[in-house]
Amino acid sequence: MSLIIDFFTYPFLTQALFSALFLALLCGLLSPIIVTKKFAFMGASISHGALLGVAIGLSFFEISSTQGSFFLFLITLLITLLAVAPLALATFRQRLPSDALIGLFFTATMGTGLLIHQASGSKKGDLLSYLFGNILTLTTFDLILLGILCAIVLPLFWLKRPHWMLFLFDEEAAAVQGMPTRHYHFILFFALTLVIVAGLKISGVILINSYLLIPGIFALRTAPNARSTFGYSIVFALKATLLGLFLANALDWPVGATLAVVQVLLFFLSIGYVVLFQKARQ
Amino acid sequence: MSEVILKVEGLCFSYKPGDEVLKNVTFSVHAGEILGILGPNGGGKSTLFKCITGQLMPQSGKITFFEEGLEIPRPAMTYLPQKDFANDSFPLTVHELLECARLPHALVPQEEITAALKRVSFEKSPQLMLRNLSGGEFQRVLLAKAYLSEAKLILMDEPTKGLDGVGQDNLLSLIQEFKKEKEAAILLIEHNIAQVLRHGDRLLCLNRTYHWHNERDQLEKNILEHTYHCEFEHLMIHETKGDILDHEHHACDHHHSNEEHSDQGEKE
Repeated sequence: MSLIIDFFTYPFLTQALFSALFLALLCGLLSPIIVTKKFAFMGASISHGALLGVAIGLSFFEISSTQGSFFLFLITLLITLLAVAPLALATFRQRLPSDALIGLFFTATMGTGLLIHQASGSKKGDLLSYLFGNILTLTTFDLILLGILCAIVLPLFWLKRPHWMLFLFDEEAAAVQGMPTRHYHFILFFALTLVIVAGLKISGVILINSYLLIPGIFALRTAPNARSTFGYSIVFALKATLLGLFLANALDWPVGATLAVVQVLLFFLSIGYVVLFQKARQ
Repeated sequence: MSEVILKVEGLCFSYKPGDEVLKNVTFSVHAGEILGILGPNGGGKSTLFKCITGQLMPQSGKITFFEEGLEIPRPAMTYLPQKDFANDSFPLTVHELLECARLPHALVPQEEITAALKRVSFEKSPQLMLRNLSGGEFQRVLLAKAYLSEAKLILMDEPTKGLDGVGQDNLLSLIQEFKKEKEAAILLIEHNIAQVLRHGDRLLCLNRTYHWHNERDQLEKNILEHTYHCEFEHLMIHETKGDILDHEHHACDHHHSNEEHSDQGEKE
Protein backbone atom coordinates (compact mmCIF):
# COMPACT_ATOMS: atom_id res chain seq x y z
CA MET A 1 0.00 0.00 0.00
CA SER A 2 2.82 2.36 0.89
CA LEU A 3 4.20 1.80 -2.62
CA ILE A 4 0.99 3.29 -4.00
CA ILE A 5 1.01 6.14 -1.47
CA ASP A 6 4.59 6.94 -2.64
CA PHE A 7 3.12 8.31 -5.86
CA PHE A 8 1.21 10.96 -3.93
CA THR A 9 3.90 11.63 -1.33
CA TYR A 10 6.93 12.35 -3.48
CA PRO A 11 6.38 15.18 -5.95
CA PHE A 12 8.69 13.68 -8.62
CA LEU A 13 6.67 10.44 -8.53
CA THR A 14 3.36 12.33 -8.73
CA GLN A 15 4.75 14.23 -11.68
CA ALA A 16 5.94 10.98 -13.30
CA LEU A 17 2.59 9.29 -12.71
CA PHE A 18 0.52 12.02 -14.36
CA SER A 19 3.03 12.58 -17.18
CA ALA A 20 3.04 8.85 -17.98
CA LEU A 21 -0.76 8.69 -17.86
CA PHE A 22 -1.01 11.64 -20.26
CA LEU A 23 1.47 9.91 -22.57
CA ALA A 24 -0.54 6.68 -22.34
CA LEU A 25 -3.71 8.57 -23.32
CA LEU A 26 -2.00 10.11 -26.35
CA CYS A 27 -0.22 6.97 -27.52
CA GLY A 28 -3.29 4.82 -26.85
CA LEU A 29 -5.32 7.04 -29.14
CA LEU A 30 -2.76 7.14 -31.95
CA SER A 31 -1.66 3.52 -31.72
CA PRO A 32 -4.52 1.84 -33.69
CA ILE A 33 -4.02 4.41 -36.46
CA ILE A 34 -0.27 3.78 -36.65
CA VAL A 35 -0.71 0.00 -36.69
CA THR A 36 -3.48 0.09 -39.30
CA LYS A 37 -1.52 2.46 -41.55
CA LYS A 38 1.50 0.15 -41.19
CA PHE A 39 3.59 3.01 -39.82
CA ALA A 40 5.31 0.91 -37.12
CA PHE A 41 8.77 1.32 -38.61
CA MET A 42 7.99 4.97 -39.32
CA GLY A 43 7.33 5.60 -35.59
CA ALA A 44 10.72 4.11 -34.77
CA SER A 45 12.24 6.26 -37.45
CA ILE A 46 10.73 9.47 -36.03
CA SER A 47 11.83 8.66 -32.48
CA HIS A 48 15.39 7.95 -33.63
CA GLY A 49 15.30 11.15 -35.68
CA ALA A 50 14.31 12.99 -32.50
CA LEU A 51 17.64 12.03 -30.96
CA LEU A 52 19.40 14.33 -33.41
CA GLY A 53 17.22 17.20 -32.18
CA VAL A 54 17.90 16.29 -28.54
CA ALA A 55 21.65 16.20 -29.17
CA ILE A 56 21.62 19.62 -30.83
CA GLY A 57 19.34 21.01 -28.09
CA LEU A 58 21.58 19.69 -25.33
CA SER A 59 24.45 21.67 -26.85
CA PHE A 60 22.59 24.86 -25.96
CA PHE A 61 20.30 24.16 -23.00
CA GLU A 62 20.33 22.48 -19.59
CA ILE A 63 17.48 20.01 -19.09
CA SER A 64 17.12 20.36 -15.32
CA SER A 65 15.37 23.74 -15.43
CA THR A 66 11.83 24.36 -16.67
CA GLN A 67 13.08 27.01 -19.09
CA GLY A 68 15.79 24.69 -20.41
CA SER A 69 13.23 21.89 -20.87
CA PHE A 70 10.99 24.26 -22.83
CA PHE A 71 13.70 25.31 -25.27
CA LEU A 72 15.03 21.77 -25.56
CA PHE A 73 11.54 20.54 -26.46
CA LEU A 74 11.12 23.33 -29.00
CA ILE A 75 14.43 22.74 -30.76
CA THR A 76 13.98 18.94 -30.72
CA LEU A 77 10.49 19.26 -32.18
CA LEU A 78 11.63 21.64 -34.90
CA ILE A 79 14.58 19.52 -35.97
CA THR A 80 12.57 16.29 -35.86
CA LEU A 81 9.79 17.85 -37.94
CA LEU A 82 12.32 19.04 -40.51
CA ALA A 83 13.93 15.61 -40.60
CA VAL A 84 10.69 13.64 -40.99
CA ALA A 85 9.03 16.00 -43.50
CA PRO A 86 10.50 14.13 -46.52
CA LEU A 87 9.27 10.83 -45.09
CA ALA A 88 5.79 12.28 -44.53
CA LEU A 89 5.69 13.45 -48.14
CA ALA A 90 6.98 10.15 -49.46
CA THR A 91 4.42 8.08 -47.56
CA PHE A 92 1.35 10.00 -48.73
CA ARG A 93 -1.02 7.65 -50.63
CA GLN A 94 1.05 4.55 -50.06
CA ARG A 95 4.14 5.86 -51.81
CA LEU A 96 6.11 4.22 -49.06
CA PRO A 97 9.84 4.60 -49.19
CA SER A 98 11.69 1.33 -48.99
CA ASP A 99 12.58 -0.15 -45.61
CA ALA A 100 16.19 0.44 -46.54
CA LEU A 101 15.54 4.17 -46.96
CA ILE A 102 13.84 4.43 -43.56
CA GLY A 103 16.69 2.45 -42.02
CA LEU A 104 19.20 4.76 -43.66
CA PHE A 105 17.26 7.76 -42.34
CA PHE A 106 17.24 6.71 -38.73
CA THR A 107 20.78 5.40 -38.54
CA ALA A 108 22.00 8.66 -40.13
CA THR A 109 20.04 10.91 -37.74
CA MET A 110 20.90 8.84 -34.67
CA GLY A 111 24.59 8.55 -35.57
CA THR A 112 24.86 12.29 -36.26
CA GLY A 113 23.03 13.00 -32.99
CA LEU A 114 25.49 10.90 -30.99
CA LEU A 115 28.48 12.61 -32.64
CA ILE A 116 27.05 16.08 -31.99
CA HIS A 117 26.37 15.16 -28.38
CA GLN A 118 29.89 13.83 -27.95
CA ALA A 119 31.36 16.99 -29.45
CA SER A 120 29.34 19.62 -27.63
CA GLY A 121 26.52 18.54 -25.37
CA SER A 122 27.87 15.66 -23.33
CA LYS A 123 28.63 17.75 -20.27
CA LYS A 124 25.16 19.30 -20.14
CA GLY A 125 22.90 16.29 -20.18
CA ASP A 126 22.80 12.55 -20.27
CA LEU A 127 21.78 11.31 -23.70
CA LEU A 128 21.18 7.86 -22.24
CA SER A 129 18.16 9.31 -20.42
CA TYR A 130 16.69 9.97 -23.85
CA LEU A 131 17.57 6.56 -25.20
CA PHE A 132 15.80 4.57 -22.51
CA GLY A 133 13.80 7.21 -20.60
CA ASN A 134 14.39 8.58 -17.11
CA ILE A 135 11.56 10.01 -15.03
CA LEU A 136 14.04 11.80 -12.76
CA THR A 137 14.69 14.26 -15.61
CA LEU A 138 10.98 15.20 -15.85
CA THR A 139 10.17 18.81 -14.98
CA THR A 140 6.90 20.65 -14.34
CA PHE A 141 7.13 21.88 -17.91
CA ASP A 142 7.02 18.27 -19.23
CA LEU A 143 3.86 17.57 -17.23
CA ILE A 144 2.18 20.78 -18.44
CA LEU A 145 3.29 20.08 -22.01
CA LEU A 146 1.80 16.57 -22.02
CA GLY A 147 -1.40 17.97 -20.47
CA ILE A 148 -1.66 20.61 -23.20
CA LEU A 149 -1.00 17.99 -25.89
CA CYS A 150 -3.82 15.87 -24.46
CA ALA A 151 -6.14 18.88 -24.61
CA ILE A 152 -5.27 19.47 -28.29
CA VAL A 153 -4.70 15.98 -29.73
CA LEU A 154 -7.45 14.05 -27.94
CA PRO A 155 -10.40 16.08 -29.30
CA LEU A 156 -8.80 16.25 -32.74
CA PHE A 157 -8.75 12.47 -33.02
CA TRP A 158 -11.47 11.31 -30.62
CA LEU A 159 -14.23 13.60 -31.88
CA LYS A 160 -13.31 12.90 -35.50
CA ARG A 161 -13.20 9.11 -35.11
CA PRO A 162 -15.60 8.39 -38.02
CA HIS A 163 -13.38 10.49 -40.33
CA TRP A 164 -10.27 8.64 -39.19
CA MET A 165 -12.07 5.32 -39.56
CA LEU A 166 -12.94 5.99 -43.19
CA PHE A 167 -9.43 7.33 -43.83
CA LEU A 168 -7.93 4.14 -42.39
CA PHE A 169 -10.28 1.75 -44.13
CA ASP A 170 -9.91 3.08 -47.66
CA GLU A 171 -7.98 6.29 -48.19
CA GLU A 172 -8.77 6.40 -51.90
CA ALA A 173 -12.52 6.12 -51.39
CA ALA A 174 -12.33 8.75 -48.64
CA ALA A 175 -10.54 11.13 -51.02
CA VAL A 176 -13.12 10.54 -53.76
CA GLN A 177 -15.88 11.29 -51.24
CA GLY A 178 -14.29 14.70 -50.71
CA MET A 179 -12.33 14.16 -47.50
CA PRO A 180 -9.08 16.12 -47.38
CA THR A 181 -6.96 12.99 -46.94
CA ARG A 182 -3.72 14.90 -47.43
CA HIS A 183 -4.53 16.99 -44.35
CA TYR A 184 -5.30 13.88 -42.33
CA HIS A 185 -2.00 12.32 -43.37
CA PHE A 186 0.04 15.32 -42.31
CA ILE A 187 -1.95 15.89 -39.09
CA LEU A 188 -1.15 12.28 -38.18
CA PHE A 189 2.56 12.81 -38.80
CA PHE A 190 2.57 16.07 -36.87
CA ALA A 191 0.71 14.59 -33.89
CA LEU A 192 2.97 11.52 -33.94
CA THR A 193 6.11 13.68 -33.90
CA LEU A 194 4.73 15.89 -31.10
CA VAL A 195 3.83 12.91 -28.92
CA ILE A 196 7.15 11.14 -29.51
CA VAL A 197 9.21 14.25 -28.72
CA ALA A 198 7.12 15.02 -25.62
CA GLY A 199 7.33 11.43 -24.36
CA LEU A 200 11.07 10.87 -24.81
CA LYS A 201 11.96 11.49 -21.15
CA ILE A 202 9.45 8.87 -20.00
CA SER A 203 9.96 6.05 -22.47
CA GLY A 204 13.06 6.99 -24.39
CA VAL A 205 13.84 6.87 -28.10
CA ILE A 206 14.08 3.11 -28.21
CA LEU A 207 11.18 2.10 -25.99
CA ILE A 208 8.51 4.63 -26.96
CA ASN A 209 7.60 2.38 -29.86
CA SER A 210 6.12 -0.09 -27.39
CA TYR A 211 3.57 2.62 -26.48
CA LEU A 212 2.88 3.36 -30.12
CA LEU A 213 2.35 -0.24 -31.20
CA ILE A 214 1.25 -2.65 -28.47
CA PRO A 215 -2.00 -0.93 -27.37
CA GLY A 216 -3.08 -0.65 -31.01
CA ILE A 217 -2.25 -4.27 -31.86
CA PHE A 218 -4.21 -5.37 -28.79
CA ALA A 219 -7.21 -3.20 -29.65
CA LEU A 220 -7.32 -4.22 -33.32
CA ARG A 221 -7.33 -7.87 -32.31
CA THR A 222 -9.95 -7.65 -29.59
CA ALA A 223 -12.32 -4.73 -30.21
CA PRO A 224 -15.75 -5.65 -31.62
CA ASN A 225 -15.77 -2.70 -34.02
CA ALA A 226 -13.57 0.09 -35.36
CA ARG A 227 -14.98 2.84 -33.16
CA SER A 228 -14.16 1.00 -29.95
CA THR A 229 -10.55 0.21 -30.98
CA PHE A 230 -9.59 3.68 -29.77
CA GLY A 231 -11.14 3.14 -26.34
CA TYR A 232 -9.70 -0.38 -26.00
CA SER A 233 -6.25 0.90 -26.94
CA ILE A 234 -6.36 3.81 -24.45
CA VAL A 235 -7.56 1.60 -21.58
CA PHE A 236 -4.80 -0.93 -22.34
CA ALA A 237 -2.12 1.79 -22.38
CA LEU A 238 -3.41 3.29 -19.10
CA LYS A 239 -3.50 -0.11 -17.35
CA ALA A 240 0.01 -0.99 -18.54
CA THR A 241 1.30 2.41 -17.40
CA LEU A 242 -0.13 2.11 -13.88
CA LEU A 243 1.17 -1.44 -13.51
CA GLY A 244 4.55 -0.55 -15.03
CA LEU A 245 5.09 2.47 -12.79
CA PHE A 246 4.06 0.53 -9.70
CA LEU A 247 6.48 -2.32 -10.51
CA ALA A 248 9.31 0.07 -11.41
CA ASN A 249 8.90 1.82 -8.08
CA ALA A 250 8.50 -1.38 -6.06
CA LEU A 251 11.42 -3.22 -7.64
CA ASP A 252 13.57 -0.20 -8.38
CA TRP A 253 13.63 -1.02 -12.09
CA PRO A 254 14.19 1.53 -14.90
CA VAL A 255 10.81 3.01 -15.82
CA GLY A 256 11.07 2.97 -19.65
CA ALA A 257 12.13 -0.66 -19.78
CA THR A 258 9.56 -1.75 -17.19
CA LEU A 259 6.75 -0.01 -19.09
CA ALA A 260 7.79 -1.75 -22.33
CA VAL A 261 8.06 -5.22 -20.75
CA VAL A 262 4.77 -4.82 -18.86
CA GLN A 263 3.00 -3.88 -22.09
CA VAL A 264 4.33 -6.96 -23.87
CA LEU A 265 3.37 -9.26 -20.96
CA LEU A 266 -0.05 -7.66 -20.60
CA PHE A 267 -0.59 -8.04 -24.33
CA PHE A 268 0.10 -11.78 -24.31
CA LEU A 269 -1.92 -12.32 -21.12
CA SER A 270 -4.88 -10.38 -22.52
CA ILE A 271 -4.79 -12.13 -25.88
CA GLY A 272 -4.52 -15.49 -24.09
CA TYR A 273 -7.50 -14.59 -21.92
CA VAL A 274 -9.56 -13.47 -24.92
CA VAL A 275 -8.76 -16.67 -26.86
CA LEU A 276 -9.67 -18.86 -23.87
CA PHE A 277 -12.82 -16.86 -23.20
CA GLN A 278 -13.90 -17.21 -26.83
CA LYS A 279 -13.23 -20.97 -26.75
CA ALA A 280 -15.21 -21.32 -23.53
CA ARG A 281 -18.14 -19.47 -25.13
CA GLN A 282 -18.07 -21.79 -28.14
CA MET B 1 -31.76 13.41 -73.50
CA SER B 2 -30.96 13.60 -69.76
CA GLU B 3 -28.49 16.12 -68.44
CA VAL B 4 -24.74 15.62 -68.76
CA ILE B 5 -23.00 14.91 -65.43
CA LEU B 6 -19.44 14.42 -66.64
CA LYS B 7 -17.69 15.51 -69.80
CA VAL B 8 -14.13 14.50 -70.66
CA GLU B 9 -12.47 16.16 -73.64
CA GLY B 10 -9.10 15.36 -75.21
CA LEU B 11 -7.66 13.84 -72.04
CA CYS B 12 -3.97 12.87 -72.23
CA PHE B 13 -1.96 11.31 -69.45
CA SER B 14 1.41 9.61 -69.17
CA TYR B 15 3.32 8.45 -66.09
CA LYS B 16 6.63 9.06 -67.88
CA PRO B 17 7.39 11.06 -71.02
CA GLY B 18 6.78 9.21 -74.27
CA ASP B 19 4.70 6.44 -72.66
CA GLU B 20 1.11 7.64 -73.04
CA VAL B 21 -1.49 5.76 -71.03
CA LEU B 22 -4.40 7.94 -72.16
CA LYS B 23 -4.39 9.78 -75.46
CA ASN B 24 -7.00 12.27 -76.50
CA VAL B 25 -9.83 10.47 -74.65
CA THR B 26 -13.22 12.11 -75.13
CA PHE B 27 -16.58 10.99 -73.76
CA SER B 28 -19.55 12.11 -71.69
CA VAL B 29 -21.88 10.49 -69.15
CA HIS B 30 -25.48 11.49 -68.55
CA ALA B 31 -27.70 11.23 -65.49
CA GLY B 32 -29.42 7.85 -65.22
CA GLU B 33 -26.90 6.19 -67.48
CA ILE B 34 -24.26 3.49 -67.08
CA LEU B 35 -21.04 3.99 -69.01
CA GLY B 36 -19.41 0.57 -69.32
CA ILE B 37 -15.64 0.83 -69.61
CA LEU B 38 -14.00 -2.06 -71.39
CA GLY B 39 -10.39 -2.75 -72.09
CA PRO B 40 -7.47 -4.99 -71.26
CA ASN B 41 -5.35 -4.76 -68.10
CA GLY B 42 -2.95 -1.82 -68.26
CA GLY B 43 -5.14 -0.16 -70.88
CA GLY B 44 -5.69 2.98 -68.79
CA LYS B 45 -9.08 2.33 -67.13
CA SER B 46 -7.91 2.88 -63.55
CA THR B 47 -5.73 5.80 -64.65
CA LEU B 48 -8.84 7.38 -66.16
CA PHE B 49 -10.67 6.95 -62.81
CA LYS B 50 -7.79 8.58 -60.99
CA CYS B 51 -7.84 11.54 -63.37
CA ILE B 52 -11.60 11.97 -62.86
CA THR B 53 -11.31 11.82 -59.07
CA GLY B 54 -8.42 14.29 -59.06
CA GLN B 55 -5.78 11.87 -57.79
CA LEU B 56 -3.80 12.29 -61.01
CA MET B 57 -3.37 15.51 -62.99
CA PRO B 58 -3.71 14.97 -66.74
CA GLN B 59 -1.07 16.55 -68.97
CA SER B 60 -3.75 17.98 -71.23
CA GLY B 61 -7.49 17.86 -71.82
CA LYS B 62 -10.48 18.95 -69.83
CA ILE B 63 -12.72 17.24 -67.29
CA THR B 64 -15.95 19.10 -66.57
CA PHE B 65 -18.64 18.26 -64.03
CA PHE B 66 -22.20 19.51 -64.25
CA GLU B 67 -25.10 19.85 -61.86
CA GLU B 68 -28.50 20.82 -63.22
CA GLY B 69 -26.82 21.88 -66.43
CA LEU B 70 -24.36 24.20 -64.72
CA GLU B 71 -20.63 23.67 -64.56
CA ILE B 72 -19.43 22.90 -61.00
CA PRO B 73 -15.89 22.38 -59.61
CA ARG B 74 -16.52 18.94 -58.12
CA PRO B 75 -19.70 16.90 -57.68
CA ALA B 76 -20.57 14.56 -54.82
CA MET B 77 -18.83 11.38 -55.97
CA THR B 78 -18.50 7.92 -54.55
CA TYR B 79 -16.16 5.10 -55.37
CA LEU B 80 -16.73 1.36 -55.13
CA PRO B 81 -13.39 -0.41 -54.96
CA GLN B 82 -12.73 -4.11 -55.39
CA LYS B 83 -12.85 -5.99 -52.09
CA ASP B 84 -9.09 -6.62 -52.05
CA PHE B 85 -8.43 -2.85 -52.06
CA ALA B 86 -9.92 -2.33 -48.60
CA ASN B 87 -7.90 -2.59 -45.41
CA ASP B 88 -8.68 -5.97 -43.87
CA SER B 89 -6.76 -5.40 -40.66
CA PHE B 90 -9.18 -2.67 -39.52
CA PRO B 91 -12.32 -3.99 -37.77
CA LEU B 92 -14.79 -1.66 -39.49
CA THR B 93 -18.37 -2.92 -39.35
CA VAL B 94 -21.09 -2.63 -41.97
CA HIS B 95 -22.92 -0.07 -39.83
CA GLU B 96 -19.79 2.03 -39.29
CA LEU B 97 -18.97 2.16 -43.01
CA LEU B 98 -22.51 3.19 -43.95
CA GLU B 99 -22.54 5.78 -41.20
CA CYS B 100 -19.58 7.43 -42.99
CA ALA B 101 -21.31 7.58 -46.40
CA ARG B 102 -21.85 11.35 -46.27
CA LEU B 103 -18.56 12.37 -44.71
CA PRO B 104 -17.00 14.89 -44.51
CA HIS B 105 -20.39 16.58 -44.15
CA ALA B 106 -22.49 14.48 -41.78
CA LEU B 107 -23.10 11.03 -40.33
CA VAL B 108 -25.98 8.96 -41.69
CA PRO B 109 -28.80 8.27 -39.18
CA GLN B 110 -29.55 4.70 -38.10
CA GLU B 111 -32.98 4.42 -39.79
CA GLU B 112 -31.56 5.38 -43.18
CA ILE B 113 -28.83 2.75 -42.81
CA THR B 114 -31.42 0.07 -42.07
CA ALA B 115 -33.50 1.13 -45.09
CA ALA B 116 -30.47 1.13 -47.42
CA LEU B 117 -29.41 -2.35 -46.31
CA LYS B 118 -32.94 -3.58 -46.90
CA ARG B 119 -32.89 -1.97 -50.33
CA VAL B 120 -29.81 -3.97 -51.39
CA SER B 121 -31.19 -7.15 -49.76
CA PHE B 122 -28.41 -7.40 -47.19
CA GLU B 123 -29.90 -9.66 -44.55
CA LYS B 124 -27.02 -10.17 -42.11
CA SER B 125 -26.30 -8.09 -39.00
CA PRO B 126 -24.99 -4.56 -39.63
CA GLN B 127 -22.64 -5.14 -36.69
CA LEU B 128 -20.65 -7.67 -38.73
CA MET B 129 -17.12 -6.68 -39.63
CA LEU B 130 -16.55 -6.03 -43.32
CA ARG B 131 -13.62 -8.43 -43.39
CA ASN B 132 -16.00 -11.28 -42.54
CA LEU B 133 -18.28 -10.68 -45.54
CA SER B 134 -18.19 -12.58 -48.81
CA GLY B 135 -17.35 -10.70 -52.01
CA GLY B 136 -21.02 -10.39 -53.00
CA GLU B 137 -22.11 -9.17 -49.56
CA PHE B 138 -19.28 -6.64 -49.49
CA GLN B 139 -20.30 -5.19 -52.85
CA ARG B 140 -23.93 -4.95 -51.70
CA VAL B 141 -22.80 -2.99 -48.67
CA LEU B 142 -20.78 -0.67 -50.91
CA LEU B 143 -23.84 -0.21 -53.09
CA ALA B 144 -25.85 0.66 -49.96
CA LYS B 145 -23.16 3.23 -49.18
CA ALA B 146 -23.58 4.71 -52.66
CA TYR B 147 -27.37 4.88 -52.01
CA LEU B 148 -26.78 6.81 -48.82
CA SER B 149 -24.10 9.10 -50.23
CA GLU B 150 -26.54 10.99 -52.47
CA ALA B 151 -23.72 11.21 -55.02
CA LYS B 152 -24.65 11.82 -58.64
CA LEU B 153 -21.45 10.31 -60.00
CA ILE B 154 -20.55 6.75 -59.02
CA LEU B 155 -17.28 5.09 -60.01
CA MET B 156 -17.24 1.30 -59.84
CA ASP B 157 -14.02 -0.61 -60.29
CA GLU B 158 -14.79 -4.23 -61.16
CA PRO B 159 -17.60 -4.62 -58.60
CA THR B 160 -18.35 -8.16 -59.77
CA LYS B 161 -14.79 -9.41 -59.36
CA GLY B 162 -14.76 -12.76 -57.57
CA LEU B 163 -18.55 -13.27 -57.87
CA ASP B 164 -20.12 -16.25 -59.64
CA GLY B 165 -22.51 -15.76 -62.58
CA VAL B 166 -25.63 -15.49 -60.39
CA GLY B 167 -23.89 -13.09 -57.99
CA GLN B 168 -22.81 -10.92 -60.93
CA ASP B 169 -26.32 -10.82 -62.37
CA ASN B 170 -27.89 -9.95 -59.00
CA LEU B 171 -25.40 -7.16 -58.31
CA LEU B 172 -25.65 -5.66 -61.79
CA SER B 173 -29.46 -5.76 -61.62
CA LEU B 174 -29.25 -3.82 -58.35
CA ILE B 175 -26.93 -1.31 -60.02
CA GLN B 176 -29.49 -0.91 -62.84
CA GLU B 177 -32.26 -0.22 -60.31
CA PHE B 178 -30.01 2.17 -58.43
CA LYS B 179 -29.27 4.08 -61.63
CA LYS B 180 -32.98 4.56 -62.36
CA GLU B 181 -33.97 5.43 -58.80
CA LYS B 182 -31.19 7.91 -58.12
CA GLU B 183 -30.77 9.29 -61.64
CA ALA B 184 -27.06 8.78 -61.08
CA ALA B 185 -24.32 8.60 -63.68
CA ILE B 186 -22.35 5.39 -63.24
CA LEU B 187 -18.91 4.61 -64.63
CA LEU B 188 -18.47 0.87 -64.55
CA ILE B 189 -15.12 -0.82 -65.17
CA GLU B 190 -15.67 -4.48 -65.92
CA HIS B 191 -13.57 -7.28 -67.35
CA ASN B 192 -16.63 -9.33 -68.19
CA ILE B 193 -17.48 -8.15 -71.71
CA ALA B 194 -20.88 -9.87 -71.83
CA GLN B 195 -22.02 -8.18 -68.60
CA VAL B 196 -20.92 -4.75 -69.81
CA LEU B 197 -22.71 -5.23 -73.10
CA ARG B 198 -25.86 -6.22 -71.23
CA HIS B 199 -25.84 -3.43 -68.65
CA GLY B 200 -23.96 -0.48 -70.15
CA ASP B 201 -26.04 2.18 -71.90
CA ARG B 202 -22.94 3.63 -73.47
CA LEU B 203 -19.54 2.08 -73.85
CA LEU B 204 -16.00 3.30 -73.70
CA CYS B 205 -13.47 0.87 -75.14
CA LEU B 206 -10.04 1.86 -73.99
CA ASN B 207 -6.56 0.60 -74.64
CA ARG B 208 -3.95 3.28 -74.10
CA THR B 209 -3.68 5.34 -77.29
CA TYR B 210 -6.87 3.82 -78.76
CA HIS B 211 -10.37 4.56 -77.55
CA TRP B 212 -13.92 4.31 -78.85
CA HIS B 213 -17.00 5.83 -77.25
CA ASN B 214 -20.61 5.56 -78.30
CA GLU B 215 -23.96 3.99 -77.53
CA ARG B 216 -23.97 0.26 -76.95
CA ASP B 217 -25.86 -0.54 -80.17
CA GLN B 218 -23.11 1.07 -82.24
CA LEU B 219 -20.47 -1.39 -81.05
CA GLU B 220 -19.04 -3.66 -83.72
CA LYS B 221 -16.78 -6.68 -83.54
CA ASN B 222 -13.80 -4.91 -85.02
CA ILE B 223 -13.86 -2.24 -82.26
CA LEU B 224 -13.46 -4.90 -79.59
CA GLU B 225 -10.77 -6.59 -81.67
CA HIS B 226 -8.92 -3.32 -81.95
CA THR B 227 -9.26 -2.63 -78.23
CA TYR B 228 -8.00 -6.01 -77.08
CA HIS B 229 -5.62 -6.67 -79.98
CA CYS B 230 -7.32 -10.01 -80.30
CA GLU B 231 -9.74 -11.63 -82.73
CA PHE B 232 -13.37 -11.55 -81.60
CA GLU B 233 -13.71 -15.34 -81.53
CA HIS B 234 -10.60 -15.57 -79.39
CA LEU B 235 -11.99 -12.92 -77.08
CA MET B 236 -15.09 -15.03 -76.53
CA ILE B 237 -12.88 -17.99 -75.64
CA HIS B 238 -10.98 -15.87 -73.13
CA GLU B 239 -14.30 -14.65 -71.74
CA THR B 240 -15.53 -18.21 -71.20
CA LYS B 241 -12.28 -19.14 -69.49
CA GLY B 242 -12.30 -15.99 -67.36
CA ASP B 243 -8.90 -14.84 -68.66
CA ILE B 244 -7.73 -11.32 -67.98
CA LEU B 245 -5.98 -9.84 -71.00
CA ASP B 246 -3.25 -7.27 -70.75
CA HIS B 247 -2.86 -4.30 -73.06
CA GLU B 248 -0.26 -5.97 -75.26
CA HIS B 249 -2.27 -9.11 -75.91
CA HIS B 250 -2.54 -9.94 -79.60
CA ALA B 251 -2.43 -12.76 -82.13
CA CYS B 252 -3.07 -15.65 -79.74
CA ASP B 253 -3.26 -19.02 -81.41
CA HIS B 254 -6.56 -20.64 -80.33
CA HIS B 255 -8.46 -23.38 -82.05
CA HIS B 256 -12.10 -22.46 -82.01
CA SER B 257 -13.78 -25.83 -81.69
CA ASN B 258 -15.13 -26.47 -78.18
CA GLU B 259 -13.27 -29.71 -77.58
CA GLU B 260 -9.96 -28.00 -78.11
CA HIS B 261 -10.57 -25.05 -75.82
CA SER B 262 -9.50 -26.78 -72.68
CA ASP B 263 -5.99 -27.71 -73.72
CA GLN B 264 -5.08 -24.57 -75.61
CA GLY B 265 -3.20 -21.99 -73.61
CA GLU B 266 -2.95 -18.36 -74.39
CA LYS B 267 -0.02 -17.80 -76.71
CA GLU B 268 1.35 -14.44 -77.61
